[in-house]
Amino acid sequence: MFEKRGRDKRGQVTIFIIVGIIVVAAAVLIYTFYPKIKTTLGIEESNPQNYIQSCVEDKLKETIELVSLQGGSVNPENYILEGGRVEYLCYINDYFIPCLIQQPLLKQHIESEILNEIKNTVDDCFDSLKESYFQKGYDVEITKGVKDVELLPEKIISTFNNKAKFTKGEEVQEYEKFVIITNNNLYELVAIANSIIEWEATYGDADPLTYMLYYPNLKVETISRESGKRVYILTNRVDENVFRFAVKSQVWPAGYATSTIIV
Amino acid sequence: MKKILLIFFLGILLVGIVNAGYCCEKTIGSNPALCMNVEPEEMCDVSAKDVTGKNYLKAQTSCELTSFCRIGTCINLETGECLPSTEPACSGEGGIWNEKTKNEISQCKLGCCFIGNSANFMTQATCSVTSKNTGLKTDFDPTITDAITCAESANPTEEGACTYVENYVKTCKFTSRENCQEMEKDSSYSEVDFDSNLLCTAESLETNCIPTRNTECYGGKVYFIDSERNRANIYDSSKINDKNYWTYPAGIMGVESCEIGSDGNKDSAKCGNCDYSLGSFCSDKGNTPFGLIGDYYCKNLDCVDYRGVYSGGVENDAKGNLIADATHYPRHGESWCAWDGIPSSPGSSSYVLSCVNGEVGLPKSCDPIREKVCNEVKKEDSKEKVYYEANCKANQWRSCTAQTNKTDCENIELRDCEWIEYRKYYFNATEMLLKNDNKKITGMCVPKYGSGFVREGNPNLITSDSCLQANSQCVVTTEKNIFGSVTDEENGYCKEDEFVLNMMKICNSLGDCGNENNVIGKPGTVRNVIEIIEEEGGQRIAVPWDW
Repeated sequence: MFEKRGRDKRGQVTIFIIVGIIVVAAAVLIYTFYPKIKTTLGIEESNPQNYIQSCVEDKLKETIELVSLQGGSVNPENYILEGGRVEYLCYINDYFIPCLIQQPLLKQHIESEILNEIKNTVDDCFDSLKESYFQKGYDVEITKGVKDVELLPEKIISTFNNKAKFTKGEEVQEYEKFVIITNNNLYELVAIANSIIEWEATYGDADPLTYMLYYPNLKVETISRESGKRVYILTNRVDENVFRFAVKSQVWPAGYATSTIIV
Repeated sequence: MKKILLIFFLGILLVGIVNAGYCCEKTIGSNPALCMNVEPEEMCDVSAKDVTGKNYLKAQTSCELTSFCRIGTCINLETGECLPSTEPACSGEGGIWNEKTKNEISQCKLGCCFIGNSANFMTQATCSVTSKNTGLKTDFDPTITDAITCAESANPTEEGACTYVENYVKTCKFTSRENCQEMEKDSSYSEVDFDSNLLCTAESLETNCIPTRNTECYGGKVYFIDSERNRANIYDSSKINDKNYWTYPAGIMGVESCEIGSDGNKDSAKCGNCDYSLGSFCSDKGNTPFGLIGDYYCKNLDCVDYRGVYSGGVENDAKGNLIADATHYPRHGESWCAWDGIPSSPGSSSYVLSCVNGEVGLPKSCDPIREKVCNEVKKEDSKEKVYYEANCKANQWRSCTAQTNKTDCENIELRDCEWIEYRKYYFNATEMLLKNDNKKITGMCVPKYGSGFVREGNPNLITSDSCLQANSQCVVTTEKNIFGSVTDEENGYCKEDEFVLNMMKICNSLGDCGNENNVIGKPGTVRNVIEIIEEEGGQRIAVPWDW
C-alpha cells in the first residue's frame, strides 16, 4: 500500500515537471517568434495610439487641472492670490460700476492654453515613439500635422494630426491621426463661468444659490476680498471637477471718498 | 428726495467721466487689464501687440467715448454665446465683435431651444452649436422669452417598449421611437417593434423582461427597473406586485405615479417621486429609510444636521446668535444672514449662508469693509411655512448723517440708517461736530452698519470726515461758592459715564471710529476717549477722542 502511494507521488512530480517544461518552452517560443505578443508586456509598443496616450496623458491632465484652478490660464497676468494665482475674467478699476469682461472667448482661450502647454510634450512623445519602433526594427515615418484641443460636453478631445507609418517586412501600420479623449466637465463649468461673468458685468455680484438650485450637480462658492474682489469656485458634485476664476466688480470706496479711479 | 438721489448718482457718473484721465487699450502694472480708465497716462501699455504687431492704443478720455474700447457684444462662433465686451477682448479665434448690444443682435436674442426631450433657454446661436455638438436635432422658438415658460414647454420625446429578437431571444429596450427605428436598420436585430403604451415588462409582449425589486435614479427620481435594467414606472412600494403598474407607463390606462406631495417624498420608503425644488433628490447614500425596497430613495436635502447660526432658530448660542436645532433647521434652497463677531465691529463683515443639497456651504462674504451687507427677508411659502431669503446688497449709509428726521432716516428704500436720540444732540454739518443747540432737530441719523476702513494701504480712501462728525465739545461751567465748594452750573452731565458711553456709541456707529472691540473681541488701544481740559476760572472742556 505504501509502495503504491510512493509511485503515485513520483508520478505527480513527473507531470508537474513536464507541464513546467511545456510552459517555459511556450514562453520562449512566443518571446522569440511573436514580437507583437512579447511587447504586450509594454502595451505602448504594440499600439502607437496607446503609446502616445500614455506618454501625453499625465502632462495633459496636469495642464487641465492647472488651467482649471487658475481661471483658464497657465500663466495668469492679471490675477488675485488665493491659494495660487487666479485670473480675473472680469475686471474694473473704476468705482461703482460693474466689471468689464476680459476673456469673452474663454473656451477657445483655455483650449489654446492647454495646447501650448502640452505641445512640446507631444512632440517629445512622437520622437520617443519613433525611436522605440526604430529599435524594434521598424522603418518609421512620422509627418507632423496640426494639433488641436477641443472642449466638448463631458470630455476634452486632443487631436494630433501626425501621420505615422510603421513598416517591418510586410507588416505595415499606418495612422492618420492620434486622438486622446479625457473625461472632464470643463466645458460645462466654463459655460456656467461665462453666465456668472455676464451677471457680474451686467448687474454685479452674482448669486451662487440661483445657479445651485438650477443645476443640482453644481456647487458654486465664493471667496470675497476687499475692493469688490471675488473668487468663484465651481465644482461638479459628481466627478468633483473644479473651475476657479476671479472677478473685480462694483467696487465701493471706503469712507466718504469720491475718487473714481482706483490707483 | 428722488430728484436729489438722481442728481447724486448722476453726479457720481459724471465725476467718473470727467475725472477719467486716460483710456488704455491695455494697462501695465501688477494688474494688466483691457480697456481701463487710468491716471496717470504712464499706466497705459503702448507696446506692440503679439498678433498684429500694432501698438496698444490710448486716448485722453473715458473708454466709453473711444472707438477702440467701447462696449459692444462679443459673439463666440464656437459656443454661440454672446457676452458684453470690448473689441480688444473679443479679438481671439472664433470671436466676432458687434457694436450693438446683445438685445439688438438677432442671433443673440434668447429663446427656447428644444433638444431631444429637454428645453433650454439660450441664444439661437448656442442652440445651433448644441445641435452640432450633441448630434441631436434642435428646434428654436424665439417667441418664448423666459426660462420658466421654456422649461414648462419641454415636450418629452415619446418613449416606449422597443421589442426585438437578438440571438434568437425576444427581448426589449425602453427607449424612444427614434432609437427603436434606428435599431430596425441594424441587421443584428430582427422583428423590431415599438409600442409607446407599454412597458417592457408587459406580459403581452412576451419578452424576457420581468419585474424586479430593483430601482435606479433617473432625472432625480427613483424608478423601478426590470430584469434587463429597463426603466419602468416611478418607485411605489405599494405597487411592486401590481400587474398594471408593470404593464403601462404612468398616464396610460389609469396608471398613475405616487404623488410628489408637499415635501417631495423626503426620506420616503414608499414613493420615489422626488422633487429637487421641494428639497428631495434620488440618492443611494445616507440613512436609507426603513422598509425601502431597492437601493435608492428621495434623499432629504434640507440641512437637518446643521447646528450653526440660523435666523429661523429659537435658541441662542453663547454670542446671542439664533442657532439651528433638531426641529428648526434650514431647508434646501434657503439662505440667511450671519455676522462674524459683533455686527459692524472693526474687521467684521456679514455673510450669506445657504443650504443646498443637505449642506451649508462656504459662507459668501458680502464685503470685508461692509460696503455691501447681507440683507435678509422672512417669507412664507404656499404652505405657510416660514423661510428666509438673503443676499448681499449695497450698504446705503452715506446719506445717513444728512437726515434730520426719523422718517427720512429710516426709509429703507433709500438708505440703511437708524435714528438715535440723546439729549437732542444732532450732526452739525457746517462745524463737523455733534451739537445740541438746535431745538428743531431732536436726534441723529447714523448708519445701521457703519463702513469699515480699507485694509489695503490706500490712505487716500479714508477722509477724516468719516469719523470727525462725531466729535463734540461740552463746556461745563462751574461756580465756586463762598464756602469754597464747587458746583456745576451747566452741562454737568458731560462728566458722567453715561455721556461718554453715548458719545462713543454715536462715534462707533459711523464706521470703524472710536474705541471699540474688533471682530475677534480685542479692544482698541486708545483708553482715554475724553480729553478734559480744566481752565482757570473753573471752566472744563471735555473733548471725545478723535481717531
